[in-house]
Amino acid sequence: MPRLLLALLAVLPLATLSAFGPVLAHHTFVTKYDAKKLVTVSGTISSVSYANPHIFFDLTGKTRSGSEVTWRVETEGILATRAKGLTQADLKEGARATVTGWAARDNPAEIGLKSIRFGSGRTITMRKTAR
Amino acid sequence: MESDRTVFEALNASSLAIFVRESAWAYPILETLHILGLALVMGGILILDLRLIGFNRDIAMSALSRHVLPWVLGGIVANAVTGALLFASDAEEFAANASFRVKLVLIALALANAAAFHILFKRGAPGWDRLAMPPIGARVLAATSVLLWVGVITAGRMMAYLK
Repeated sequence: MPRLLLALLAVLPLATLSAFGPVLAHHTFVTKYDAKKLVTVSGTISSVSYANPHIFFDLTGKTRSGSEVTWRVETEGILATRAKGLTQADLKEGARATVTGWAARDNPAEIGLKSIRFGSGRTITMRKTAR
Repeated sequence: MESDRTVFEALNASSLAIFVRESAWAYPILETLHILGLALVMGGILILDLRLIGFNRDIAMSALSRHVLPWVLGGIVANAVTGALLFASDAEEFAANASFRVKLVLIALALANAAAFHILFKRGAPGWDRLAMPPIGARVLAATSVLLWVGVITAGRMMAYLK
């Protein structure tokens, strides 16, 4: 009897998962961003949410056809970005930047940051893979 | 729902919420404390429930629960506090998160299950304090408790993956 009850313990996590289906994630990189869709875009930082657990910023630039577009870029939390040298002073509205990252599976205007190059030429690589 | 939204918006804009999300260390420290609380709750509950299900019946149930329950209750209080602060930091987002809603429902069910056990079986405990197999109803509630708490952890972890 105890063994039977223990076996039941294995079932609930699966039941919980199946209860709300394959809805896409927000915070976890590889579920949100497509490792096969590496993109590079340039523009001006137009807003910044410098907050944990993940920093987000908007980059406004032009598409190849010339129309204005705003990409929503996601990177790591405050301590992780700081450790790589990407500071709050770097992520300022009005700063010019070129962003390389992976596009979201469901939205090409959302990018998970791989690396960022500023106008000065300084480049910071936040992650090497989209895992 | 519209009035709820305003409440979460206000919570989001509170100075406490801003501190939790904009301080470099507040969020990681709260997450760490939340995991420590989780370890106390899940560890204690699992040890008690396995004993109730029928394992290790040479250990007196009364002595075991006297030792374990205060730590479990401490963990529940710690996680209510750290959880509320983490929730506040991104209230609108968490309130709309399907996994978070499932988690809250499972916590409510797990606490109701514990209350039901307390009401139905506490008085009968001396009869099976040592060696005797606990009554089937107590064993079923104990197994349900383990399942519900495993579900709470699963739903909590899935908040980052399944919205």
